[in-house]
Amino acid sequence: MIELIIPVRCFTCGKVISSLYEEYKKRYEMYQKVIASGQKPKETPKEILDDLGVERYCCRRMIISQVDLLKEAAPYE
Amino acid sequence: MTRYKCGLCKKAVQFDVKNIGMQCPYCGSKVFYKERPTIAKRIKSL
Amino acid sequence: MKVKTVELKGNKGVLKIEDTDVYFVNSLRRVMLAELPKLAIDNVIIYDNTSALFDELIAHRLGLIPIPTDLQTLVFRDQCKCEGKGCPNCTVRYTLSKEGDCVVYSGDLQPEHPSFAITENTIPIVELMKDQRVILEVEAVLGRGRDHAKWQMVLAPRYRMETKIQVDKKHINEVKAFVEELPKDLVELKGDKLELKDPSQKSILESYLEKHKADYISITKDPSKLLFSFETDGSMSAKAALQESINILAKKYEEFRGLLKDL
Repeated sequence: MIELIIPVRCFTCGKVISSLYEEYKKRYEMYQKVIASGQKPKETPKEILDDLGVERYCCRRMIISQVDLLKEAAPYE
Repeated sequence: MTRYKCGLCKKAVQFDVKNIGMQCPYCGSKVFYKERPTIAKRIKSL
Repeated sequence: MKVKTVELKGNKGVLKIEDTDVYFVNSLRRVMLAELPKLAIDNVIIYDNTSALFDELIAHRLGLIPIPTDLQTLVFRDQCKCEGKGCPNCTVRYTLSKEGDCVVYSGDLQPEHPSFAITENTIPIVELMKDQRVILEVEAVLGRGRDHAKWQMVLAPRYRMETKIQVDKKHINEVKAFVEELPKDLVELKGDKLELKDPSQKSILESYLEKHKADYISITKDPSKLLFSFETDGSMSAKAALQESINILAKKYEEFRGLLKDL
């Protein structure tokens, strides 16, 4: 099944990553906005993940590759 | 008789289980959701 | 055996263990993974769920939430006096009730007693739209990592042997040329010795050695000197988890010795 919502833990090591996802998403959208306007961003996605304490690449891929699709399925019970 | 909810107008309707070709008497829609039973469901978290 | 604490605060622990063997540290690692008890949500009683996710999926997500665990006050359910019925000695109960438009977080689980309040309270469980609601009750019980990963408290316990990089003195000029090719701040050439600036970057050096076929540089590992590091998921501090796993390991050795006496 497609992950509609960010998985609670990293599949590989078990670190709780879902609590960091919303913060990452907020800061990543900020980064995208600044990039689109042609300015130099305050922090890159790499720096956001380092700052959040996501060290291993197994946990990093969980956050980077997430696509939120729950809103699409939400109208149906 | 089983209780259903119409997928279009969300009204509660009842049908016989033997009934073939269900249709909502209010809006004519053919999509239905089965209503959730009121008893608590106990499941294991796996 | 010599143990030096490099870091042991919060959820992270790094120990330097010397004069030991790999098998001993590995037994500690395996106790941490499989034997250390922890609280996790096991039974979920769902009264109503009109959200987009299935009951089972919500139950699974609830199970993975880390719950602060005090092993002094709790016992396993199958060893409890209540004979598996579930009493305050072996079970922690939470209730959750929320109606849309909102996001249901792990912090919305209301504990029976405030001391069991969930510390990691920003884990999203499910997103609710208008007119959707979730009403449920959960029971958390003690369990071990060998039964289910949700009861595994320690994550990514690992150890690394100390490495020495040896250089063939006859080829010192080739070594110098090789070091020039490497990325900056990877290694340092001290006389006829090479030293890694960050020991975790060893694999990068290895890949360069392979690429350049530099057989005049050899890496040797010392299995008596280990760097052991681990993390916890937040249900216990790294220090408490380490002490608890050592107690379990000691108890196991004690039990084994008792059995050998009767032979």
